[in-house]
Amino acid sequence: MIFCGAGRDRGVLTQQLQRLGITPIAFDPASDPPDDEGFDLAFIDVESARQTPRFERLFQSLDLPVLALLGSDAPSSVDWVIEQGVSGYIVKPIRGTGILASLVIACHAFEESRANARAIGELRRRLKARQLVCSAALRIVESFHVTEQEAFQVLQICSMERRIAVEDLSAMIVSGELPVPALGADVKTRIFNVGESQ
Amino acid sequence: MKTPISIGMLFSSEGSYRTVSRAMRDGAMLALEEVNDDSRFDFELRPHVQDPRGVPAAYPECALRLLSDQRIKHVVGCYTSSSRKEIIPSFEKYDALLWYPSHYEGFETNDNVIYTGAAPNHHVLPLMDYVLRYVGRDIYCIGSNYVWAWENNRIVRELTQVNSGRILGERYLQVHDCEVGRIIEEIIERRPSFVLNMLIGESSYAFYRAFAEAREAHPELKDTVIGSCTLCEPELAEIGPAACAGHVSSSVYFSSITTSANRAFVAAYRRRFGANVMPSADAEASYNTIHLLARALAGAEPSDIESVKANLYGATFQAPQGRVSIDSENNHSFLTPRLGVSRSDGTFEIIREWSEPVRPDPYLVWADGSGISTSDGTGGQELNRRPTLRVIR
Repeated sequence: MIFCGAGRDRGVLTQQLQRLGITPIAFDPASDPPDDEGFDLAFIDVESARQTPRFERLFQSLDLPVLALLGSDAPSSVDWVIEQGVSGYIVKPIRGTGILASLVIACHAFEESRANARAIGELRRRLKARQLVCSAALRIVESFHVTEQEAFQVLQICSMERRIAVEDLSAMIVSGELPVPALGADVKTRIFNVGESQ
Repeated sequence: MKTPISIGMLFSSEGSYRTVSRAMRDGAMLALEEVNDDSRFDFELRPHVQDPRGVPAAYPECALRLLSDQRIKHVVGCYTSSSRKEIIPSFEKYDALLWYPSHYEGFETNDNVIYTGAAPNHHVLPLMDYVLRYVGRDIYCIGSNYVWAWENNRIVRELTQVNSGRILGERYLQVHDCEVGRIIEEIIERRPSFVLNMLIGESSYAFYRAFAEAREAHPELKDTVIGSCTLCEPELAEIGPAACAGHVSSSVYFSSITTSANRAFVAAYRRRFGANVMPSADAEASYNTIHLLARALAGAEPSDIESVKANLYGATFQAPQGRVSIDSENNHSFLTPRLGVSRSDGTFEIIREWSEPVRPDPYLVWADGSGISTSDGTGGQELNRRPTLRVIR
């Protein structure tokens, strides 16, 4: 998707994308926002976008590499680009050279950013679950008079045997879904094994 | 026999900002005639006029006619930043110079452009210095929806926040939009001490007229001050005497400057374009541009823009506003900031002026974060005073 008024910049960008085997579909401020969300890439002219609130929701919903077409170094324009969280930018007036490099770097930045966001989400989830794991371990310590380290190892081994995440097993213990005494046999065996492995 | 040199003129006679653009064209034409009558120059400037009629898409076409078809190397023109940015690639391609005689928002330096209008440290910083010191800190921002207003409003937001002020609202209209009712309603409701008006052309005139009506109906608005970095004499005539008085404008030129150079300029301008018209900052900027161009062309090869620029960097012109020259570091101009308050007769009373030309700072790298000059040491103590708009010499 190219969102940019007709003119020299759009012409240069369209031609170069076609050379790269990319099919550009152009929209301008007079267009209706497209329903089809089957785009792989978006190029958004900063000045046109800021003047066209009708497209704001579409731009915010795009989950793909977005490149800003930036015609001004004015900080207000640069701030707007940063706020949009774009993956890259191309300076206007647009020249054929440099578009491919900007495109590749933007796609890489988008994928990296998405992978980082996933990893951060997973880490946040685990961090949040950490309190549950600690609570479950404390219950094992209190019930079976084992050390904290032994309790954590019991949780780890039990979760592997049941093929569920440590955090999920801990949640089951804390919620009472899995009573702590039910771990009795496991605890005896694990302490023995733990002791042996040490 | 003088050698002819072709000069392009690229101004719109139609469209939303035609009043300003026509004044720019007139200022350039007056200077061109003066140069041609001046025996010190051994060349004659021949104008080639292109009129994009305020249509953004027409600017590149007009520029190409001048640069490609007529092979002209020097073009004076453009008012809006969007039109300037549209045609810069053509000037790079044909290695020509655009002489851009308009104030603008800054943050640009191009080797193919000479910026003879005011930079942000000539217009918005002096205005806000005055506002935050003497008018108030409750500020409402309006503007035309493009980079001129976006950038100036950003600067004002930052200066206001640094000085513990508040932005009570920020609204934009499309360039041709004159529906100012919602803005007026908000101003009545929020009662800012200062309204920063970055609207251009007809939107701005509609706002001033609507505000005057609102002030009649709502006396509590009598202390609200409107300030602008564009308001000029031909626009006061457009707005009309009932609504044009009492507004602050930040500009490097007002027709009421009392120097002999300006008196001569005003007289010549009125002789040429009518006894009822007044030259504006935009007309003066275009006038200065042609005079600087003539000095740069003297002794240079006109088609070699590097030799023209080398001449230009050493040139000065005793302009109606005072001495003007170009900073070789950024191609912008040394200009003299002033503040004026509009009068119902279509002129401005000058309330502040700098004692000498100020170096251009298009990237605002030398401005301190507060925007308040420390020259008179009054700091923020007088900020609560209502605007008496006294003359400060």
